[in-house]
Amino acid sequence: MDDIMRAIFACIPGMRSPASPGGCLSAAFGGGDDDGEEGEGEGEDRISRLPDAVLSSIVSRLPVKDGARTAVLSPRWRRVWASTPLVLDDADLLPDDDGPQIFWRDVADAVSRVLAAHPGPFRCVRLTNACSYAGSRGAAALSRWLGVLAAKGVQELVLVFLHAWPVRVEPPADVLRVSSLRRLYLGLWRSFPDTEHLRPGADVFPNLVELGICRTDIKAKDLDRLLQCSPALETLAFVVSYNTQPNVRVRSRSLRCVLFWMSIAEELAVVVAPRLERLILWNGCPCTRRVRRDFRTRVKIGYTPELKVLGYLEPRIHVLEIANTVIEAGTKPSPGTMVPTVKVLAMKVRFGVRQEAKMLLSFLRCFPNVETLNIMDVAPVECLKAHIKKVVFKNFRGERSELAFLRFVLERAQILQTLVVVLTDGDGDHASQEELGNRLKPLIYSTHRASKCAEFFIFVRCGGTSWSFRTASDLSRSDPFDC
Amino acid sequence: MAAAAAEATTDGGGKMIILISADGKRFEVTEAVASQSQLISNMIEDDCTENGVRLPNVDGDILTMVVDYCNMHAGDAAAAGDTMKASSTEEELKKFDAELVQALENPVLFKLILAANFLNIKSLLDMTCQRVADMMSGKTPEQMRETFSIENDFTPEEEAAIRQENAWAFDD
Repeated sequence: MDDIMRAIFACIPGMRSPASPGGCLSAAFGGGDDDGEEGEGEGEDRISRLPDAVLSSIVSRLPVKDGARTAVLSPRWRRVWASTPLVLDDADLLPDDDGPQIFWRDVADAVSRVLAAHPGPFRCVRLTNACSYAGSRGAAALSRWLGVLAAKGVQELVLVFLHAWPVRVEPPADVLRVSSLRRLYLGLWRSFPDTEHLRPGADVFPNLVELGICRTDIKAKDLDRLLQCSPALETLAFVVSYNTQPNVRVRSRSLRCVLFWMSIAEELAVVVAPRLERLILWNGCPCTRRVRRDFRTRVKIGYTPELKVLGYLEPRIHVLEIANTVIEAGTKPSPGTMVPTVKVLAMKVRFGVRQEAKMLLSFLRCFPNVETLNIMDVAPVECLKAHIKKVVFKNFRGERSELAFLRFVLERAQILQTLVVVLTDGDGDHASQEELGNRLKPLIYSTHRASKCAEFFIFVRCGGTSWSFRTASDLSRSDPFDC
Repeated sequence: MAAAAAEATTDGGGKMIILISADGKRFEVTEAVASQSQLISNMIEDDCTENGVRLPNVDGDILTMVVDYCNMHAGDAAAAGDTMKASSTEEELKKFDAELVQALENPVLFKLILAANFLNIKSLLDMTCQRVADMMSGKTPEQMRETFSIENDFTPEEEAAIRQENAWAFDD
C-alpha cells in the first residue's frame, strides 16, 4: 500500500489496511487457542444462553463472512445475524489465501449478494476493492448498490478507490440520495458528483454529521451546495487534497470542526461558520515534493465567533488573512485583525529562518487570548540532537519559561549526560529553595527524556555562582563556566 | 484476592458499598469502583445500596473477577492528581486486560459475559464479546458448533437452503 492510501485509511474511522484481509490474524489466534480446550467446557451450549443483544454484539464484531456463517448454526443464530445491523468491509471478502491474483468480479459479486441477503439496517459499509472494480466498469453496479444502501438505511459509507487502480471516475449521483447517512468518506474519485439538481436547502443529508473528501476534487459551488444541504454536519475533512483544490470556501451553520489534513489549496476560506470551534491545518503531506517551493495557502478567517482551536499555522506555507487584512511581519494589531476567541493555538516555525520567527510574533498578536500555545520547531537544533553532553543552568528562579526551556532541552538532547541546575540565591521575593526544588520535580521524573545515556545525572545545587576572573583564567578547568 | 483488592481501595476515600454474590460472598468496594457498573451507579443515585447490593445471578468466583476488573479500572478516577502513578497504571491496565481476556475459557468466559451484561459494565462486556468473536472468526460453522457445543436444530434441508442463500460466505 502506498503513502497516499495509508494516509487516507488512517483518517477513516474503523478502516483497516486493505493489504491484510480481515479475520486472518484473529482466526489464527482463535484457532490456536482452543484446540482441545473448549471441548472440556462441560459440553454445554453456554453461548446460546446469552441474550440476543449480546449475541448480536458478538456477530457484529465478526468479519462479514464469518458473521454470515453463523446464520446456519441454528434458527436463533440465523435470526440474530439478520437482526444485527450489517458491518461490511469488502477487505473481508478477499480470498483468505492471499494469492497473487484477486478475482475482482468475485469480490464485487459477493458484495452484491451480501447487500441483497441482509435485510438491513446497515450500520457501516466500506468498499475499496469492489468499488474500484465496479466503478471502472460503468456506473450501473455502483448505482444499484447505492440504491440498496439507501433503501436499507446505511449509516456509514466509505467509498475509496484503490490508488493503484488505473482508472479514475466520478461516483454516481445516487450517492446524493442516501439520506440515511451519518458519516460519508469518499476517496480517490476523479471528482465529486455534480450537485446542480439539488435544491438549495433541501435536506439531502438530514443526518450527516461527518463528511470526508479524500483526494477527490469538489468544485467550490458543489461544496457550498453540499454544505447547505447538510444541516447536521459537524465535521468536514479534506484529506490528501493537493493540486486539485484551488479554493475551499466554507459556509455552514452547523460545522464545528474543519480539518485540512495533509492538504493544500490556494485558498482555504472560512467565510461564515457561526458554530465552528476548530480549524485544523496539517501539512504533513506525503507528496509535498510535487508542490512548488514557493506555494502558499491563503488561510482566511471570516465570521467564526466560536473559533477556539486553530493550528498548525505555518509561516512557511500559510498566508493568514483575518477579516480581509493580510497579516504581515509588521502588521499593527487592531480589533479588526484579532480573533479573540482562540484559546489554543499551534504553530510550526523554523526558528532558524528569521522571517518566520518574526511572523510568529505577528501571528501571536492576532490571538490575544491564547491560553495554550503549541510550537513545533521544524528545523532540528543540530548541537542538541547530536553533540551536547552537559548543560548548566544558573540562577534558576522556578519560572515557567525556565522550566519550558529545560524541558525543551531534555526532550531533544539525545546524548546528554549531565544537567546541572543552580538555584538562585534566594534574595528578593523569589520562592524558597525547597519550593524551587519542588518545581523541578516533574522535570526530573519526566519520562520524555531524549537521552538514553546509562550514566545520566541531574544535579540540583544551591548557592549561586562563584564565577570570577580566577576561574575564568584557570586553564586546568575544562569548563570555566561551570562553577 | 478480592478481599485484598477491596481493602486496598478503602483508604482511597469515598463511601463503601457491599456487593453480595449468589453464594453469599461479600465484597466491599468504593462507590467509584462500583459505579463502573451502570446498574449499581443507578442504584447509588436512587439511594438503595444501604444494606448491600444482592446479585442473585452472579457467583462469587465470577464476582471476584468483576471486582478485580473494576478495581483496576477505577484507577483513572482514584489516582487522579498523581500523574506519575496514572501514567504507569495505563500500561498495567493494558497488560491486566490482555492477561484476563487471554485466560478466559468456556464456561467462565460466558459466565463473565452474563455478569458484565447484567451489571452493565460496557468496557468489560465489549472486551469479552470481542474474545468470543476472535474465537469464532475464521471457523466453519461445524467448527463453531464444536467449539461452543452449539446444538444444530436445523433439518439438513433447511441448512442446505440457508447455505445456498449465503453461498458467498462459504465459497472457500
